[in-house]
Amino acid sequence: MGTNREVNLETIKEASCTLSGHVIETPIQTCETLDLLAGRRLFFKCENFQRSGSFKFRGAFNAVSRLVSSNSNEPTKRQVHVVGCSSGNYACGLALAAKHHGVTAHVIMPNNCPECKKQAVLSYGANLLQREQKDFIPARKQVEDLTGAVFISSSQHPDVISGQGTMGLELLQQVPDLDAVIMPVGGGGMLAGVSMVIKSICPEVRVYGAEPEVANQAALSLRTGERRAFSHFPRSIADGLVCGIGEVTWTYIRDNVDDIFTVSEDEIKNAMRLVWERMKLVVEPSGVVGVAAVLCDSFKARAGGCKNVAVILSGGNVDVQKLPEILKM
Amino acid sequence: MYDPNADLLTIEQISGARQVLQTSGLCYHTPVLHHVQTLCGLDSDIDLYLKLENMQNTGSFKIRGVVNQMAHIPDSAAQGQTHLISMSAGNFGKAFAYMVQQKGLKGTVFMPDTAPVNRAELIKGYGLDVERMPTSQLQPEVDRCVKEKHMHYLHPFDDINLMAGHGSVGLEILEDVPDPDVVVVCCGGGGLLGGTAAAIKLSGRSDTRVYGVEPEGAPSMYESRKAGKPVGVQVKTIAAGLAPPYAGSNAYRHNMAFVEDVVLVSDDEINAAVKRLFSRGLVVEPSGAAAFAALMSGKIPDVKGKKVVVVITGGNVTTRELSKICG
Repeated sequence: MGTNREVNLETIKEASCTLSGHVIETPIQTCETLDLLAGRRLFFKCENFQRSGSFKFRGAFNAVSRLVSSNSNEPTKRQVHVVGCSSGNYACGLALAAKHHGVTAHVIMPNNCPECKKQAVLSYGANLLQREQKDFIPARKQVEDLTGAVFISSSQHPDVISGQGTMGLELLQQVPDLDAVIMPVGGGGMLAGVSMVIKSICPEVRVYGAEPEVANQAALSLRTGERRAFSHFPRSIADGLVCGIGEVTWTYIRDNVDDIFTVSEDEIKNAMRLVWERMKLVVEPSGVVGVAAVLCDSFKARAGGCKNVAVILSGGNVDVQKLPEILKM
Repeated sequence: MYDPNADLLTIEQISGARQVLQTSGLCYHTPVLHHVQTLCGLDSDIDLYLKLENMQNTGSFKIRGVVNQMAHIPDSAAQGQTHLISMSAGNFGKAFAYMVQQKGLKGTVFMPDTAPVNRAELIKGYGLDVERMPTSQLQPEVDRCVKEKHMHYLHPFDDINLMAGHGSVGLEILEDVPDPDVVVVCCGGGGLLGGTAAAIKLSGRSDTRVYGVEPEGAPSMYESRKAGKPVGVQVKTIAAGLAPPYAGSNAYRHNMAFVEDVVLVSDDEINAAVKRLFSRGLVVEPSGAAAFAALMSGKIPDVKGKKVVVVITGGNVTTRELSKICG
């Protein structure tokens, strides 16, 4: 059972079986106040409740599980090592997934990553390396050479994308009469996986991405038809979304995503404030970008016809000390 | 008029209150999270449900009671000829102020001068007047306004119509979880606990055990049960919403009739509960987390293999307050 290169409905359904019993089928919440502000019915998929605090656990678990299964066919039993690079949530997901499978995880995180994510990774028993983002690749190579670790990309690995796609399967079951789904996009793993599911089963349902204006690689790529990559990592309050979409996720996004909306830093903070105050949900800035998008003017202009919109709240790992400054509440 | 010796609630009163709430359009049927024991870091052999009243309109369950209470005020008050007054720096005050504004009426909220200034500002924001004074002067001042100025007083936790409104929580729980073994509810004045327990028991759930949870530093209902009558206590706890200085008379009698027991939790246990819920994605204020704190610290008996519903009663906490607790 080697690594499947393609992501399709079949691989995502297989991922769903692999994840069953290990991943939380997160609930859908609604909020009348936000419906009024958006001018449509919103269905929030609460991945902030997911194990390790974000949807990333899904992809990580699927990938580690498949790796361990493929290794179990080998004659010699040796310790499996995995390595991943991450601004935070994928590191947490990978560390937890690895712990579950008895695998050693090495995670490479930026120096300024949220403290809560760093603490979580350590608590799951992973080996943590903190580096400047520009030094990620050399650090990763070093780990691979020293330990034989298998690199599992946080967004480009097909098994990770398939794992994220399971949210699409759940959404289609949980929300009847869906017109559209919107979710944040960073590396594009979630958007690639979920869009694959939606377009395979219900192609009439629109699939939208949401990005910070300052990190709009995906939006630019979709508009021009060519993958755009920034030469530097932009700075955004949505710290999980500053890396651009990769080669692999671009192919799925290009074919299956209808539009990508961008929002300002203030719009992100405002959305986070609304979700905190009205829904009493802890959602991190990156996690609330879909909400910001659905409230913005360009969504009302370009997607105004969508009456029932699912919004994925992708994660809730935020440092409590930073909250007064971000939310001003 | 507040009657401290009202008859025990009937199921008709609670259902009637529910109807009033539904007609008003001001109260939501709040979500229940199912099977969240693993999410909440509890033993996997408890089947845990969370009733999320922190997501209620105005950020706590209080609006339920207020809506029904306001449906039973004298005509002169309903028509704006009589001034409405109440006493609360907390979530009742907020819900009351919201409701008075919704009805286009005039009102005054009395609060202790120890209450944070932002509470007074919040209530003034709804267009009501706020009077701050030493705690000992609150009740005499309210009495004076009723007697001499003929104002209408809404009791913040022991009014029977308020309790009937709060009881709608119990009816909703049974709709989402038809056969709970245990229901755990935070207890301040005892209005929510009394109303919810009455709703559950009077719906025929004789096997469901309903527990109340109070802070160790404000054990008015716990001491009242021991004393055999409603008593007052000295209060000191971070859970300001659960710290009236006495158990309500109506709430006490409902407690004795319908509630299995009242257990106590420390401020540390409450803080740990707030921190746990925050880390899992929920904004819950200390008073709102007391019931969960009791389950988390093993204070609720016989929950192994049982369906346990915990009511999260409110989420009105500032980020600064949360930062101090979780930091």
